[in-house]
Amino acid sequence: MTLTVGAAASFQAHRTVTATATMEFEAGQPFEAEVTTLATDPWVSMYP
Amino acid sequence: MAIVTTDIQFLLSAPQAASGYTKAGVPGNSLGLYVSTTQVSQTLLNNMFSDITGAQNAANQVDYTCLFFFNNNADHSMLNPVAWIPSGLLGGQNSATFAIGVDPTVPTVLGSSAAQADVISNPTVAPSGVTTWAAPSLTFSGGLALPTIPAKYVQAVWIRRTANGTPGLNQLSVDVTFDTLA
Repeated sequence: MTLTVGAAASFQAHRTVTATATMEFEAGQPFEAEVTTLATDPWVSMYP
Repeated sequence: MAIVTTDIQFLLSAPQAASGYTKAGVPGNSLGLYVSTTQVSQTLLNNMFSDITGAQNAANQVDYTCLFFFNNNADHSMLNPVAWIPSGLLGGQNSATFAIGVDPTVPTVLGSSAAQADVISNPTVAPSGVTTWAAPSLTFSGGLALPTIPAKYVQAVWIRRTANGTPGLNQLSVDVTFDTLA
């Protein structure tokens, strides 16, 4: 009597997908502004 | 139908929502809990992170934002997904550094009433459930594994930003790479 025995195998072949999200922002730098004012009234000095 | 890249949506979170996909998200306020109805805008500036102020930059501030991946395909799961930040897509003028972490909440259906992610009270608070952070990598092999994301389910990740004191325009991308049966 002839027997045939086998083992079955199967597998899935996958496909690879990549999805992307992109984002953006600014990074600031501390900045100081300085104003110098005159100690005297210029009108007084110009028109005594 | 087979999964295509446009089936994968990137959504902000809605920390004030009561369930998933019910409230709009706000860039700079994507603090977790539930997925919002707002996709990450294709207009890039401030689409996820607010600007870093000069004072924050000088203090090397660290902040966090929550991002959801949504598998909008009707039929197929995202198998063996990996979340990563491609180092090749970082902006050339970047002054901040970045890392990505996986939220411990398992994938949930889009409109879930169960919490879909950790929640933080403000952007400088680290999400307590995220224990591993991956730096940007050249390929997805440097990213972090996610659980299978079934059709119409969402999975949250967190992006950590560290200011380094230098001013400038910063840009980064977040990728998810996965296998699909079709």
